[in-house]
Amino acid sequence: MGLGRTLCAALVGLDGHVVEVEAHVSPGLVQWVVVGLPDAGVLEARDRVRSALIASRQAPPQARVTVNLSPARLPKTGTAFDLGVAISVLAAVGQVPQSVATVGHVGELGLDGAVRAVPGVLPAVLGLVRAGVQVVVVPAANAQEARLVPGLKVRGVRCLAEAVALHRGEPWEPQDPRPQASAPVGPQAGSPSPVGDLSDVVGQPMGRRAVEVVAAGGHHLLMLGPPGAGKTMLAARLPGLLPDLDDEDALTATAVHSLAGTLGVPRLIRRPPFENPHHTASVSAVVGGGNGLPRPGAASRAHAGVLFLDECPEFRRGVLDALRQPLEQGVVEVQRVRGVARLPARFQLVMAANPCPCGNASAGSRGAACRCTPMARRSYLARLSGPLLDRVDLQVDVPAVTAARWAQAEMGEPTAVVATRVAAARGAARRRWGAVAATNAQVPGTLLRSARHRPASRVLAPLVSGVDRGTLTARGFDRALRVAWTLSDLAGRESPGADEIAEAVAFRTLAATA
Amino acid sequence: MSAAGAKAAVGVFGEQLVHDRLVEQGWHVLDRNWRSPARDCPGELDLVAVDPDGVLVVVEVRTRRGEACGTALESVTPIKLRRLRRLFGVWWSAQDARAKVRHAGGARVDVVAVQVQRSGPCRVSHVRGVG
Repeated sequence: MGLGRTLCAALVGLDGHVVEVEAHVSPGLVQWVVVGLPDAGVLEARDRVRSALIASRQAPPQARVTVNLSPARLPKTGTAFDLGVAISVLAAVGQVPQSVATVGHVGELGLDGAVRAVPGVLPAVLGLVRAGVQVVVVPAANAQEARLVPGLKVRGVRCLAEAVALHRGEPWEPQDPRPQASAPVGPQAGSPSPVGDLSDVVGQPMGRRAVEVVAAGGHHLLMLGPPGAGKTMLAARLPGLLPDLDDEDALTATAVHSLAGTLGVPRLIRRPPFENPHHTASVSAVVGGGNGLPRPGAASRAHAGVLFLDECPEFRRGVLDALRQPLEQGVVEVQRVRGVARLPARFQLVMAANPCPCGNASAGSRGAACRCTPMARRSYLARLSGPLLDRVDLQVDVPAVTAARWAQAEMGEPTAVVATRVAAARGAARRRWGAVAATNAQVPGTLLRSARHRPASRVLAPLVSGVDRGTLTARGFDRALRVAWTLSDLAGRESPGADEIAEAVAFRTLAATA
Repeated sequence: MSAAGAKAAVGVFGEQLVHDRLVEQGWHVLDRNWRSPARDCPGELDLVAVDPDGVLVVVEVRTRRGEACGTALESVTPIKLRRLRRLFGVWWSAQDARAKVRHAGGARVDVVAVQVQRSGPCRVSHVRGVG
């Protein structure tokens, strides 16, 4: 009879908060009470823990067991508290030493005592480490993932008996048949499966150029063209052009995928993720949401990578509008009654669209004539709201590939060659902007227009006259200038010249005509 | 003896054992195996007694031979507790006024679990004030 305590972690968005699990075993009828804002999944821990204790040759206390999860104001969801509840109860009855009070526990229990893998181990462990926890016990299947967090000792366990032996400092030999922790289920890694090479794309010099520019400058991109022109191929090859993620981005991206349950192989995501939600996706599927613990949507899973919206006018208006916040701030805020969950969502947006509902309206397609009414054509692209389009720096036509092009198609440049140029351009941008911005797309307008970086007024003339004539908004001016900087970085120039400005304006004007 | 008979015999044995122990400890037993006359609240109270401190106690005796079907203490569910409390109300209303005055100091429900061992003495655990 007594009190036992240990540590767990509750996730709010991607933030892991330390939760102290207290178990009090007191005289009374056999009864398990769990308090401290548990949800249904946490309440079920009672029954799982009881069975797991029996399976691990630990008699469940013949008394009243009160489990408290504190701080009580924090909502707790999911099954990752099972292991902590079991260990705190065992500490209360003296089966494990009280020293478990400073150890973090994450894991779900099976009825046979197996410790099962749970999603979100990485952010949970990150939260524990930030709170000063030095030792965590996690499911063996998640141990590799937890070890991605530097600065603490990770112990992976396969079953409750192993965790008990660990805390007692006893050796543990697996018994037969030993509890089987099932392999973590879920789709394989959110990181891109081997994507094709840029040299696969036939023709499309404009499209290739645009993909190279957005890779170098971190800009958003809209591609317009008939079906089958290669828009999807181009978009899928963008992540291949991007550099590896730095440590912080890699850890955040891995944590998001851990939470989403899409981290197949538990290793740090170093390559930029690529997410292409289907156009029937709901708002919560794209920006995140769901009951209780908000699950990251495609926008968060694309953090530090590429979010590709194919057939973007077909997406629901609400979905496209919901992307404005992450585009602006790099985070998604999921509002809940009990608080706001913030999920990182700094992605590069790539959109592809047909020029009209039938897809044949663009000049490049000869055979199939467009049969859409002018009204339908006009309203189709109008579904992309102005504020969204305004944030897209590059808009390019991806026309149908003609037979002649197809036949003579010489191999385009492979990904490796273009990626080298992209890396060089990104390096130049980083040296110029320093800590202010990692890419040209993130440079604040004031710095862009400051005397130090402003190109000669002779060079800027086309942009200035565009603003004067009203074909370019003030924001459009900045955006064109940013693209011009990227073009000059790619060309290895010191600052944008007339050619770069002209090309940047050309990359913008499509939306004005559409 | 039939299986049902054996089961009942274990129960009777346990109740006798608990009765004797409590008397030994100075309890004053008021009623044994009191059956409720109320048709809307049928049931039985194993023991109604006054403990050495003078408190009125309803004692529920649970006897088990093994732990295969859960322990004796685990077999007292919140629903059974509620029934015990209701039964106690019926019992109380059946008492005369003088007894009511005498025991007006309050009452509680105890559960005594008797674990019959294959050999050796029974294990008895007494849980006080469960409801």
